[in-house]
Amino acid sequence: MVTLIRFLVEIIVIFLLVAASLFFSSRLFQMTQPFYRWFGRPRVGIFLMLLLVFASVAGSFISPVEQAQDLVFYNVWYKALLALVGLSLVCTILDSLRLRRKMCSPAALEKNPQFYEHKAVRADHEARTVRATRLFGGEINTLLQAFEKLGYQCVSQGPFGFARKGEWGKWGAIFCHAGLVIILLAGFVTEWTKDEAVLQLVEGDGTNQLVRWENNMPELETANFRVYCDDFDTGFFPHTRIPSHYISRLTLVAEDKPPQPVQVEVNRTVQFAGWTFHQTDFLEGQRLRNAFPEHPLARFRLALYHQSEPDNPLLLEMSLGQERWLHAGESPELTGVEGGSPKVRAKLQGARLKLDRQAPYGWKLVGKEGLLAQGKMMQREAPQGKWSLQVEGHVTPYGTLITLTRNPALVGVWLGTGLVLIGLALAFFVRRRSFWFWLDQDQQCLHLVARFRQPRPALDGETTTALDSLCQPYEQQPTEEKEEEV
Amino acid sequence: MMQMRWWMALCLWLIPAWNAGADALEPLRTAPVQMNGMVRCLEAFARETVETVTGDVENEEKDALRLVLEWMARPESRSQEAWIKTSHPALGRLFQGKRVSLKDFRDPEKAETLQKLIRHEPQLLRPLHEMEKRARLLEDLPEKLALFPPRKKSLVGSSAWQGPANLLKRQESDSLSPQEAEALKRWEALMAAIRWDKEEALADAAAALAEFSREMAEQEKIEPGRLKADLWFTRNQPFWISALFCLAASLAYLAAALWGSRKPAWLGLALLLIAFGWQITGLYFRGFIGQQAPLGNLYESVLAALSVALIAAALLEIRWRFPWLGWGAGLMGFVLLVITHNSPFFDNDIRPFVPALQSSWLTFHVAAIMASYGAFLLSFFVSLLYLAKEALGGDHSHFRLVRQMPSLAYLDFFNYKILILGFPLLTLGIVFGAVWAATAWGRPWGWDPKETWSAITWLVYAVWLHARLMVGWKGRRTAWLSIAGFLCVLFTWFGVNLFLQGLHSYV
Repeated sequence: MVTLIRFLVEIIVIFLLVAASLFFSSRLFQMTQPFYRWFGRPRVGIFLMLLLVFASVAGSFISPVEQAQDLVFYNVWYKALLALVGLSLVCTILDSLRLRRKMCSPAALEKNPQFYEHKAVRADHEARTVRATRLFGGEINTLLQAFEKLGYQCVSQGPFGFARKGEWGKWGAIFCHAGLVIILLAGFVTEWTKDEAVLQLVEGDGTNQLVRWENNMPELETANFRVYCDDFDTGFFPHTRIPSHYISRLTLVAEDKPPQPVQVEVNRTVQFAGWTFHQTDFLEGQRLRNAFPEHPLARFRLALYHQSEPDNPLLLEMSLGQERWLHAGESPELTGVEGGSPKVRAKLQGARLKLDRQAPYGWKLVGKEGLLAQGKMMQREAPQGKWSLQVEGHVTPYGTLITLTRNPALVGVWLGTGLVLIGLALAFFVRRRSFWFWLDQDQQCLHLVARFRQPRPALDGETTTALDSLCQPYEQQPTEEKEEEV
Repeated sequence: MMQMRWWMALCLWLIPAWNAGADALEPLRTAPVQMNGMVRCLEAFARETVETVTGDVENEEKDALRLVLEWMARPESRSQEAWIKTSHPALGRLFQGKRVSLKDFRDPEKAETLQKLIRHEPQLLRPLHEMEKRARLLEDLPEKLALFPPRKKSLVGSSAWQGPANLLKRQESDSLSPQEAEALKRWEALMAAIRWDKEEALADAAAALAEFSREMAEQEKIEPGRLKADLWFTRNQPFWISALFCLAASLAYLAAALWGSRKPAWLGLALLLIAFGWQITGLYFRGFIGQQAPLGNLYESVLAALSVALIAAALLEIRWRFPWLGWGAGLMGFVLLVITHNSPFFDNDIRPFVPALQSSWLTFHVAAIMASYGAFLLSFFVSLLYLAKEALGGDHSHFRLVRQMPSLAYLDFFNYKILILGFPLLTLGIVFGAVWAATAWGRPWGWDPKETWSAITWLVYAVWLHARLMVGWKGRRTAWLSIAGFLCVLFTWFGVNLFLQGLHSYV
């Protein structure tokens, strides 16, 4: 029910956002122009980013992280700052769309032949423009044909010409800013939709109680599934204190479904019943005793023998009171059980093993019971022949700590990051340039204004070569005439 | 394997293995030994042990392996001769020398004097703790030299190899397997040959034990190529060779910049590329030996970022004919390599990854971040060059050297070019980190100090780009902003580890 409500809230929020943006772009577009033009100004964006930098620096020095989150990162003022950054980004997108539509199209040239002298263009793109004047006595069409060969789109009117390429690179900044807006939105939506709980279990135990942290207080919630921790395995690299692995072997049981044995490790999650299971920590020693003061914490190393192979036992660990499924779902492979030949291991397909918690301690292998005593061999009739169980010794029990998460807004974060990356690739790695020409036929001069993706100290190599081949005959003429005179 | 041979051939072609002398112990140098949680060659173990105990890799003209074996064969020499390096002048005065013997260090009278000394000078506690570590390593050497794999894997999966001392103990209780008994026999023969100081017998015993080790390595499925690569890596120290090439490249580039000639610049380029080649070779070998991506700690991250800086500088130099960039990259490469190999802040041992780092996302995340840091390092250098040139009179300076530098406009342009390479890489690295965090911790972002500072760095460079592209900032202001950005990079990289605590503490 809660999930459904959250989903509905999410849908409503997205719908409202889409509606607002449509409304904003169509009806209020003109009315709010001064506002979004001001808010979309780069200087405002830079100011907000610097504010964010100073706030984050302050937050990073607050220890522990939880306090920093309370005071800064998850606090209202920081969220408001992020919202302002988001608003600025939206305004930048709108402003750049307006500017592109109005000014940077070939159609604009037809309306205003002296386009390159346009005040707005100059103001906006001054940093990225390079101006040049070359001697050129040819036709404007000759010039444009040369640029067409270089992959430019060209238009001309009278002595004026315009050429451009890589125009789709202009979407880079828009994609990038839109991606950031989506990430911020997804971050805000996460506040409502994110669900996180913790599962704390001793090896051999099972529970359906999830612990949620609300206002730094634990709250118990009953899940619609049960989790059994069959085994927790940890170890160190030899001769070191460097941990090598943390593995929880769990059996997940939901209503009307067969039990599902799974293995959760650090960096290897499991999905079940809409939750993602993360191995985040483990408990041992005093921490374990503090967490489970009334638990017997008895764990045995067991050897399970089949009558056909008395010298090759199956080795496993179990706690008192534990009941475990020995097979991994439909796979014939046993989980957390070592030793035994494949033939004998196959005989345990579908088997369950249980150790009684209450004295006299006994064990069951698919329904057969018996007493459990250290060093004493105990035989039981079970499917596929006689089985014997021997306690080989005690082992230190561990507790596992699994974090369960579900976050539908995460999709939005990935969508946003994808857009940011595409945007950056388009913005920085697409060669985007526009040229405005004006041919002064009286002076036999070609005036040129070039706008590049980035500020440049001079024209790029490709354009210089093209212009050289076109202009050199005219530029060399006076020298030749002088030589003739001499 | 083919790839491995190709690398080895190329490396041997570029530089001779000057210290690969054929001696009696040569076959034993590639014997597998368990060290720092992974299997290494015996030579690597010996060098690290000797370096830890004595502070030097080579000692009294004896190579490390011979010294370690002598310590094992002659326990009285190990205990009574002065091997343990003293970590503080005050301790040196107490023990009357730069080194102290194990016997003296454990002397109860000296221990009493030490206690009194520490009461007066508590700052001696740390150096004393270091000495204690050295002494313990020397004492426990017979157990620490884990040459022999266990005969049977236990239920809990412990696969700790055993040292000769463990086998001797078990021999007393008659619990040795035939294979272990044979191993012990060969080990005893080697020890006897060392005690008698007979070179021929030593060669035979070493060959016999090496053959046995090879068989064990095959049983344990350890590639012989890996052990050979380890020996080559331990002997040749590729990063030191890279440092030398970096220095040579910077000198050649400096000559090119001073004389305004391209010929030394071409030489500098070749040297820079060779330095990069050694850097990559070293990283590849570290990865191959450890069977994991060589991006697991600060030391390796510096090496990776430096590799990117070297190749980026070489490529930009080819494209823009900018010898100053090559000079800067070579000089910074040399300085950084010297610092990383001498500062205790950087741990250059190859160690296995903790579970949190055992993910394929590590390679993508750290590689992208380090590539961006390499680019930012270059951008920082270009900004410094810009400010220096401007301070010395700019394009019309009185100094010829300053005039020979690229114009201020071009330096500004180079800075931009480098940053538009670094910024998307930083973004990519942060995104990969977020994906990894979502898998490991269940959330893509958690305001951990490292995450926060990476966001700060990203924002500062975003401000740089906006100021430059949209506001029209140029020159001095963008140079200062770029320097501020690199200071943020440095804090994210090292400062967070030093001053703040968080989930990224192992990086």
